[in-house]
Formats: sequence, structure tokens, C-alpha cells
Amino acid sequence: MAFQVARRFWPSEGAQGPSPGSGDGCSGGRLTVPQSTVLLLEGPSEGEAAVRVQVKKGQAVLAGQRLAEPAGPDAAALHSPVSGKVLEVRSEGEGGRAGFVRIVLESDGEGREAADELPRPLASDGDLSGVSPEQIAEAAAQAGLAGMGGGDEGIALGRLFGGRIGQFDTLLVVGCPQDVGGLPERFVMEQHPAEVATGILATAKALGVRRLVIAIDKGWTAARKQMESALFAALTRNGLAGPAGSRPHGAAPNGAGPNGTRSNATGTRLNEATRTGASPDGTAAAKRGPVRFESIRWLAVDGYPQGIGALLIRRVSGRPAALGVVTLAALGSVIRTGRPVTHRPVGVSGGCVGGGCRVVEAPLGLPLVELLRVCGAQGVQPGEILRGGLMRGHAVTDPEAAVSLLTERVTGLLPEQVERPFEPSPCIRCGRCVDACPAGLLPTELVRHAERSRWEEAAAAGLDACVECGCCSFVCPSHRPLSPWIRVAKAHLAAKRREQAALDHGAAAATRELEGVAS
Amino acid sequence: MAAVAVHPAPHIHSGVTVQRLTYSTLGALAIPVAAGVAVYGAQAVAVLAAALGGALAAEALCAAARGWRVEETLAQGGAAITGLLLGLCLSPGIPIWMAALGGAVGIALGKQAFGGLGSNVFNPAMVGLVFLLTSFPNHMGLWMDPAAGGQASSALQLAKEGAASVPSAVALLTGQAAGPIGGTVALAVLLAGLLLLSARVIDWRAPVGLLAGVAILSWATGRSVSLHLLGGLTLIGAFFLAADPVTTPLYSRGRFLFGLSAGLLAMVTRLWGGFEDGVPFAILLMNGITPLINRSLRPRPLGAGRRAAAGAETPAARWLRTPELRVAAVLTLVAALSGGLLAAFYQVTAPMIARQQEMQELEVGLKGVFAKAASFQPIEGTSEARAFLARGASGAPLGVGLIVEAEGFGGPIRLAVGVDPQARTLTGIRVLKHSETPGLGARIEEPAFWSQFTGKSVDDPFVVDADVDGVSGATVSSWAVTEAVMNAAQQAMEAWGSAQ
Repeated sequence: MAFQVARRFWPSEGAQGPSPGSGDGCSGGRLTVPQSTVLLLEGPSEGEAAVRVQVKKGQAVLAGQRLAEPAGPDAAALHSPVSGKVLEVRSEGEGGRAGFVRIVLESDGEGREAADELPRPLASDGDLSGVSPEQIAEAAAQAGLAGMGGGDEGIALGRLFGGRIGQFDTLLVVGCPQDVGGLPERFVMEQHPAEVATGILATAKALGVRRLVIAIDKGWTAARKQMESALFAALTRNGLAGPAGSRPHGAAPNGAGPNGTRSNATGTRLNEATRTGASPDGTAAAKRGPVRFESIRWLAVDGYPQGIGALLIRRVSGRPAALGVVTLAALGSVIRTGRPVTHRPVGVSGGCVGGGCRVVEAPLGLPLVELLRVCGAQGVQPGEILRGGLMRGHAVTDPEAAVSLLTERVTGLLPEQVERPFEPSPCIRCGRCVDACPAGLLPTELVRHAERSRWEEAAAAGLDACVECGCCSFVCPSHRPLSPWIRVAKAHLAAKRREQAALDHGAAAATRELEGVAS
Repeated sequence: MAAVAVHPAPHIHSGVTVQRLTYSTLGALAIPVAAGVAVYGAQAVAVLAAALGGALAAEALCAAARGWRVEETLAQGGAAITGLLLGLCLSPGIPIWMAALGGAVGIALGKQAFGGLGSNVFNPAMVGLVFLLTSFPNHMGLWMDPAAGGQASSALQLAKEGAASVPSAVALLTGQAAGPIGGTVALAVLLAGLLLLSARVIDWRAPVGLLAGVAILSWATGRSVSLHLLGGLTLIGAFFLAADPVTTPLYSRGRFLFGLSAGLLAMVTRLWGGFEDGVPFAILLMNGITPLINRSLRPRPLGAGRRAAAGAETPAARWLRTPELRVAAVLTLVAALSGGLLAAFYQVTAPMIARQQEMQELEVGLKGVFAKAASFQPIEGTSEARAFLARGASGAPLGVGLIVEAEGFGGPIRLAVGVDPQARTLTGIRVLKHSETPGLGARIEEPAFWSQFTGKSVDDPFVVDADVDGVSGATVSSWAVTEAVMNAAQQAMEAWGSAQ
């Protein structure tokens, strides 16, 4: 991937730094957790996303057992990925972070399931005809599901799906790499396409959207084929397409869909299917009954960074909601099995694990150091551990940093890979950062403002449109820290806006008080 | 096991560094340098070394004065590029000290005065070159014959003078026509440019734009496209000057506009300007306009266009808002304003200038031929020439003075002719204005020629080489003056008659 990025901008140049190696970046399976492995699960203890811990120190737990229930409207429940016992429950002041509660588990290595405690699946066959949007929202919140990457980072699905019918008109499915190194996005589309398809239909139903845009990386032909088949099968099962089991790559006429959108053969076929099954229902009737699409459009995306969810959504007209395929796969799995979310696919790469890329379904709460170790970094001291890939990953400082819902990638760099031999030199105004910016921004201008603490000017120059893909820094021949400066400016601006909002809030309250006194 | 390092993302780099870009450019420059040395030999080596030395010395001095590490500043390679580029743009025949001075001025005034690497507005090599072009114009147009070694006209000079035969494309490519050290063997520059392009050291838009601009205007005016593309500094301008990252626009659209405008401007100078090659001036001018291009052609953030379009905006308003049109509108407005201002200024001053000229003619011309006259009174009714009645201090008429024009070899010749009608002789003639060939026809302005008319009888035959001694080698000029004087004498007699 690094080479791909390099080739895109200045093709003759090889990438400097760690090589992604020869792995295809999407092989792998569910990681088995050995005995006495310690897991650290964390959730907010206050605010809209707060959870209430339901287990005590020393209590024995089973895999899938609930550890904390949602207490706020944005909350997602926590479940144990393993069987074992609770070592500790750390809240603020007891070794935990401020505003968070951390549950420390020890695995017994047996992986016994809490079978009788699991809720009944909503639709084990993927037929959502009898399922309501409220049920989908409730299932997502209870299963501990939140946005797992691809434009939906950290979004509470329970809140997103609750009473939002009519707010969106398009569902954008993001099946593109969000960073370099390991491809969990491709992994779920190739290994779990049925779950992704069920997740798509469930989301479409919960949001009441009638248009579907599926963005898949141009090079991922196998994933694209898998998704076409799975979506066709899912629509068939929902009583919308022709006889079940008919091949999706049949002799369907090629050409434009009913709305003039670009579709391939399958898309057209799907569109025809939705047309024949169409009824003049409004939003009320759509709440129960089959999912219908007016149009399905497949978007072939040109690799990193073009596939970043926050960028793709700007290319979709109307009022789109963007969800990543990893999130959708998790949602589909919840709906079909009833099992809560306890694992997530993580792309693992870097010199510590031999230089290649792979994807593993890692248990939530597994420390990153441990994840690297089980992926092959035995006896290797990492020089730097990144939560994320080489382009967007943040270096972790907490030795207890663990896999979370948002841990899309983990990169373990060897000590010799972390050296940065270059000092920043003056900008030569070559414009490579401008050419590289997928958001159409001027990184040089943003950084000029940021370096002088001119946050408002940076905002006026389009700071909010930056998706932090890192491409400006990647191509800068002067090694200027463009991307880091932009992040600094964004943080300052966000703090400033929060402060302003608090002031406005206080002023409004005071005004109300005054008016109350006056009347 | 705790990780030791904490770095901000991204954690990889493309590997394209400033140093790599600079040294790639220097490597590419080696090709035209070698070609120039192969053609011109030791003289080219001396000029190139002098320009390089001047640039490096200036860079080192400035770095030392600023407290920078001298070796590090020199190792950046920018000054070496400037020095070599300047040397490649010069004639192998110019004095060595001049090349060194150009290099030093380019770095000191063109680069370090702005703050050093990355901060300069103008291309330092072109600052040095234009400094030399304007300071020592007599030295700069002297080119050397690549084969014989003597003095020769460059390809562009031949084109400018309208020579019957100009060098062919093959001659230009292989270095058989005189020109700057780096521009003589066009093939070498072309090769270097293609190498830089294929290595992605430079962007293709500015070079392609510049070549397109030159090709379009030379083709549209019916000149040799290959000569203008391959001759002079076109290729160096395209691949090394317009492709310089520091002094050209940030965005790809802007870079093409930069190249195209520079190419057109360079051709304007070549076709109608006073210098044989317009590339240095075009590059500097576009360097100056670059901030305007940057400001006008800024890319729009992804998705911003849709939001704007969703607002209530008429198509016409949106059309006017497009940056390209705004640039065009601003430039047109500026051009129209300055043009209008010039026209208005001319309208106001033209009669004043004409009166001034007339007074000067009276003063110099008519006083010259009627030394004793106190006043000149215009005689009405004379058609072709302007005739004046010369009066002495007492008011008595002395004779008739005329301002007449003759059609010479190089254009009109304006003469003052004085006639004493009573004596039927000429009191003398003066040449007021002419554009005859220097050294030949221009010798009509020498007293040796015009003094022979003083006291000459109006009834003489006025035949060159009979009763008038012509200027040798300038038959046309001599005849033009002689005939004009003869006609003027006759008119003066008529005017005298009507005035009496």
C-alpha cells in the first residue's frame, strides 16, 4: 500500500520506511486467546455514552456475557470476548482514566459461551420483513455496536438508527482502505459478505433510505464479486428479486438503472427487481415489510486516500449516511446470530510481525503489545506501536492500550524503522502537497496559519474539510510536518468551539433566568 | 515492553526530498553543460565556471553574513543550479568577469535578498541574466559560430533580421547554429528535460504550456515553429525555468497557465520587441504574476462546489465566479485601463508634442538656413510643404523657408530648405530627421553633403554626380534629397510670387 501511495503521486519513487511486505493484507481468522491472557475493556463512565458496570471483581464470566449495560442514549454495551474471571474494575481514581471505567479480565483459555444468556437473533436467515427499525436500533445498542471505521468512526448506532427515518435518503457503504497496512475492509467483504449484505439491508431499513451507493476499491475485484452475489442473495431472501438461487451474473441487460445512475449488470438487475416489487408505500409502510431501493450504484474507488469515508461522502449527492463495511458486517452478524460484538477484524503489519500484512479477528480488550506478540512479534522489542496504519496511525504511549471498536489497524515498528533522519527544511513551494490533497485543500496555507496560531484563519481556509490522510506530509520534499500541524489546529479550534458553546449555553441560561425574574 | 518512540502520523515518506530534487536537476543540467563544452570548448568552460563561481561565492558570503553554516547552504545545491543555468544562457564569447558578476547578482539580489532557499519570488538565474542583458547590451548579442569559432548571428537574430535562410531543425538540434552555450545543442536540453519529466522531478504542465505558447504564436504569425521551439532559450526556459518549483504557481492549473503565458510573452518579445529572446523577461514577468495566479486559481475543497451550486445563484453569476475567468477579467481590466490611460495621455500630449517639434524645426532648421531672420510667417495656400516667409529684424522679407519631406531609403527624410527668391539662389538646407542606413545614407546629415546646396542657383539642373556630389554608396538617399530640394526651390519661387 505504501508503494501504491508513492506510485500514485510520484510513481518513480519508492516508499521510504517499512515495507508492507508480500502478504495480501486480508488473510486470517479469529484469534484464539491463550490461557491467562489479560484483556482490558473500557467504556465511558459519564456523559451520553456512559455504561454501567454489571460485574464485580473476582466474578467468573463466560464468552458473550454482558459486562456493562448502556446507561446513556449513545452508549454501547460491553461484553466479554472470553471465558475467565474479572480481575479488576477500575474507575476514575482507582487506576482508570478520567471519565472512563476499565474492566480487566483474565482468560481461562477455554472460551466457554454464555449460550443461554444470548438474545434470540432478529433474523437468522437475513429476512428482515418482520423486523422494525426500532428493533434494529435496540439490537445494535444492546450488542455493543458502534461505528468501527470508514466514515462512521465512533457513531452510536443505537442513536443513529433511532427515529431517523426521513433524515437520510442515501446509504453510502464504504468498502475501501482507510489506511495503509492490513485491510480489514477487504477481509469482511471477502470472508463475511452475507453479514455485510444483511447489515446493509438492516441499515437501509432502519434509516428508511431508498438509494444505495456501494463504494469498493477499484482493485478489489474478488470483494466486489462477493458483495454483488451476497447483496443479490439478501435482496432475494427479502422477497425482492427473482427466484432464490438464480445467479447474479446472469444475462441481465447492461446499462443505466431506472434513475439514470451508473450500474453494472447486477445493479440493473437489482433495480429491476426493486421496481417489480415496488408498491406505493410511504415511510410508515416501509417500517415493516421488505427493504426497497430506488437505485443501487457501485462506485469504483481509486485506492488510498480516495476511499476514506469522510471524503467519499462528499462525492455522494443528496443526504447520505456513510457506514463502513466492518460496521455493517458486525451489524449483520448481530442480526443473524444474536451474538454481541466481542471481536473486530484488525489489520496487523509492521516490521515486528515480519513486515507483511494480515487481518485477524481480535478480541476487544486485547492489549496491542499482546496482539503483536501473538501475530509473530515474539522476542522483538517494538520501537513504536501505532494504533492505525502508517499513514494515519497514532503512536501509543499507554502500555495497556488495547484493541477497541475503533482499532482498525495496529502497526508494530522495529526500533530501526522509527528513525526519522530528516530535519524539516524551508518550503520550496513545489505544490506536491496541493496535488496530493484528496480534499482539495492547500496544506501549505493551512500550516502557515497553524504555525502562527491563527486558528480562525485556518478554519476559513477549509481546515474542517481535512480528513487527516497524511498524504501532504508523505509527499513533502522538505519534510515539513504538515499533517501534524493541521491536527494541532483542528484540536485548538475544537477546544475553542467547545468553549464558545459553553459560554453561549451559560449566557442563554442566564438570559432565561433574567426573563423569569422580569416576568 | 514499552515502545520507545512517539512520532506523529504519517510514519512513511515518499522518499522524494528537496536534496534529491536538486541533485536530479543538477544531474540533468550536466547534459547541456557537456554539450555546450563539446561545441565551444574552453571558452564555454570558462564562462560556465565563472557563472557557477560567482553564484557559489555570493551564496557563501550571504550565508556567512546570516550566520548559516556555509557548507550546508552550498550543499543544498540551489546556487549551483542558478550558476550553471545562467552560464548556459550566456554566449561563450562574453568576458569572464561578466558571467561571474551575473551569477553573483542573481544569487545576491534574486535569491538571498528574499530570504534564501524557497523564499525568492524571481528565478535567480533570470535575475542575473536580465541584469547582464540590460547592463551590457552590447556584449550580450554577440554570439559565436559553433564550427568556425568567429563571431556569428544567432538563430534568433537571423530570424529577427528577416534573413533569407534560417537554421533548420536538424541544425538547431545538433548544435550547428550560434546561440547560448546551453541552447546551441537543443537535443541535449531536450534529453535533460525528458529525463526530469520521466523521473517526475518536474511537472509536465509548465514546460508543455511554454512550448505550446511559443508554437502557437510562431505558427500564427507564419514564422518557423521549429526555429522558435528549438532556438534561443525556449527549451531551457521550458524544462528548467518554468519548471522551477519555487517561483512558479502551486497548483497544476496555474502551472499550465504560467507556461502558456510565458511562451506567448517570450514570442511577443521575439517578434516585436527590442531584444532577440524574450524568454528571460517572460519568465521574470510571470514569476511576478505567480502570486496572483495562486490566489485566483486555488482549488476548491471537495464537495464545496456542490454546496455553492445548491444556493440561489444564477448560472451567469457562477460563470463569472469561475477563477479562470476572474483572472482573465482582472488581466483584461488592467490591460484596458493601462491602455486607455496611455491613449488618453497620448491624446492630450500629441498636439503639445507636435507644437514642440514644429518649434524645434523652426529654430534649428529655418534659423539654420536664414541666420539673419527675426521671424517666420507661415504662408497660406501652399499644399505639399509648409512654407514660411522669413523676415529680418526690420521686417523686410528675406526669403522663403520650407519644411519638406523626401522619400529616402529607410523612410521619410525631413529637410529645411531656404530660398532667396530675389537672388534665385538657395540660402542652404538642413537635414532635420531621417532613418537612412548608418555609415551610408545617414551621411546626408554631414555638412560635407548639405553645405554644397548653400548659394546654389534654383535654376541648376539638380542632377546627382553632375552638379550635386552624392554620398558614395547611397544613391537613393542622395537623389531623394536632391529632388526634394529642387521641388522645394520651385515651390518657394511660387510661394514668393503669391506672397508678393
